[in-house]
Amino acid sequence: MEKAIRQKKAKRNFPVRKLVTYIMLAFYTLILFVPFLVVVCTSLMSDYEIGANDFHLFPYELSGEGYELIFSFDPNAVNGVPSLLIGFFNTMWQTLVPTVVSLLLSALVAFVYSKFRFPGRKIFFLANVFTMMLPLGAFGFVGYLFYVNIGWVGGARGLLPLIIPGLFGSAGTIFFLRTYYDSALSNEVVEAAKIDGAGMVRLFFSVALPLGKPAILAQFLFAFVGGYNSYSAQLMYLYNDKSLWNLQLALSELTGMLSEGNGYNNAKCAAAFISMLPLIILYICMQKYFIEGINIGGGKE
Amino acid sequence: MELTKTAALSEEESVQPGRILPQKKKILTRQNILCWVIVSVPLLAFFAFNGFTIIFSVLAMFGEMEYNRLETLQWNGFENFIRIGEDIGTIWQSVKVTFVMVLAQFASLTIAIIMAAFLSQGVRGTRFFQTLYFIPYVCSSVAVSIMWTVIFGWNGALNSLLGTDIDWLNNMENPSTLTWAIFISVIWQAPGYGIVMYCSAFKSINPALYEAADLDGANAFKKFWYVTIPGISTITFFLILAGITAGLTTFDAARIMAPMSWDGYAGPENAGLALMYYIYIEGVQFGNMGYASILSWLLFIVMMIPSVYLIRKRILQLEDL
Repeated sequence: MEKAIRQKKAKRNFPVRKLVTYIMLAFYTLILFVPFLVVVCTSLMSDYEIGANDFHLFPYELSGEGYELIFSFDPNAVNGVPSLLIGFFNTMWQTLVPTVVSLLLSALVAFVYSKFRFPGRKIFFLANVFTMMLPLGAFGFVGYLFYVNIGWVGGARGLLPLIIPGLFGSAGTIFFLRTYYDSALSNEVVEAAKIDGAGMVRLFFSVALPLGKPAILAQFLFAFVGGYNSYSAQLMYLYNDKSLWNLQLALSELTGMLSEGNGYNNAKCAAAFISMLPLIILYICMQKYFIEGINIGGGKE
Repeated sequence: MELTKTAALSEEESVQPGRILPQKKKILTRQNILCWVIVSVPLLAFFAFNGFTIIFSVLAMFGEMEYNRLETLQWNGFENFIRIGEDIGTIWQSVKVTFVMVLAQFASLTIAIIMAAFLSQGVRGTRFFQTLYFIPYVCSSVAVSIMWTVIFGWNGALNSLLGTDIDWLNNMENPSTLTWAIFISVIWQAPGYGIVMYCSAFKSINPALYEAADLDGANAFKKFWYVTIPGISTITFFLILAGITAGLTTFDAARIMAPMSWDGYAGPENAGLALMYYIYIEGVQFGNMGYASILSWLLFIVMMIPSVYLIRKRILQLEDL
């Protein structure tokens, strides 16, 4: 019914409305992609061509100079391995370990809140919401004071404040998954399994994890993107040990060094582009889950 | 028969089938204890890691330390607070920069509403454009800032487009171009999330409202104003709060885009000195954690205002959980 009306209306307004929409969509696409294009094209120019003070978008002559510079002449290389490569592997494990552990724990906690009745449940959950809303981002750098004093700073110990606090679940994820379990996992299924004698942990692995997959996957993706792009904490705790840098820190230090001599825009662009590429590819492959993830959360907010 | 059975099971506190007399409930059952243990893990970890940070920062406000070691703490009364008065020019500058960053989040929100409205027109390829618009969101702010650094640099694309010869990030004659360059890099990146959220919000608005508006002869703009905007108010509220938080804690872009400068910490006349960047410079680089703590607390108090509002709203919602 509603569709029919809309279609009728669309037909009547056909040219103007559709045209304006397409122009706006194309315009915004252009705004988003011209900077990308500039970066990709600059990364393929030689330093000589960029320095010639006549700007042009497409390189006259393709050159791999920028990419060669960041991989073969990286001033931050450790034992000859370029810092971006080290950074990529460090990012992977430094992100995946806490993300997976924390997500499993968050899912378990959310499941307990959603499907078990225990005294004080409401107060615990209120406390959870409270911690979620506290804007502790303001204390991001002051945390350094605490970790210095318990000896978690310096060399490889700098990894501790980055990994340990993130292992114990996150209030936001718990809130999100609990809302999901409330609506997507029926009480009857759980009650029936309880009567069959399944324990809490078995229920979690056999019922809650498989049925919560879409929401858990969405949370995983966003946590992974956040971890991959994390910068300020690593800057604070890992700055002194190049072999532990994550990708963003390696990228910022490398380009910072290149900026000192005015030039090397090709290498800077190459480094920025190469660092963005893995996530863009991941996103394009998994875009359905990203968008779904936002939709699951969006409907419930 | 089947129906009554499921109904009885779904009643949470109901009497279990087969148990005729309601017995006094035991509190210390194995299951309850397990539940308590599980749900307290995240809470305990939260209080352990953040509680001490907060306590330490309060201590640090009233003293001076060597290398941030607490055992070297010397009480110096209100000296750190007095420094705020001496330093008010720099603080005011960083407040201004931070305000522009919050503004960038509001601008992103507006862009998100507008683009989501265009995406909801039901034209072909909507899904494709929605997918494209989300890409900047997955790019790191470090890489995006480097991208804009290259574009705004003196031999970059902007100068050749405008025919000028200015280093927009290090512009002595008009330092604020650096602030606005950071602004642009933020609004280039931030709207993607909002666009996708608004698209799903638009879909969830009851179509009958639009039909009613059609019958009343409302035009497209009136429908947007009177039906769409109220229908997305909850999500807008959430995105505004998230945006304020993100804007107030802007760090990555400021750190990457603001060049070293002879007359300040971050760019000419500190035009790139977002408050978080200032806290980093004072606390981590110069080791003045006492002073950095004061600045952090100021930021925290400002951020608490919208959060308290949100907590109250959430607690009201929780009554029916």
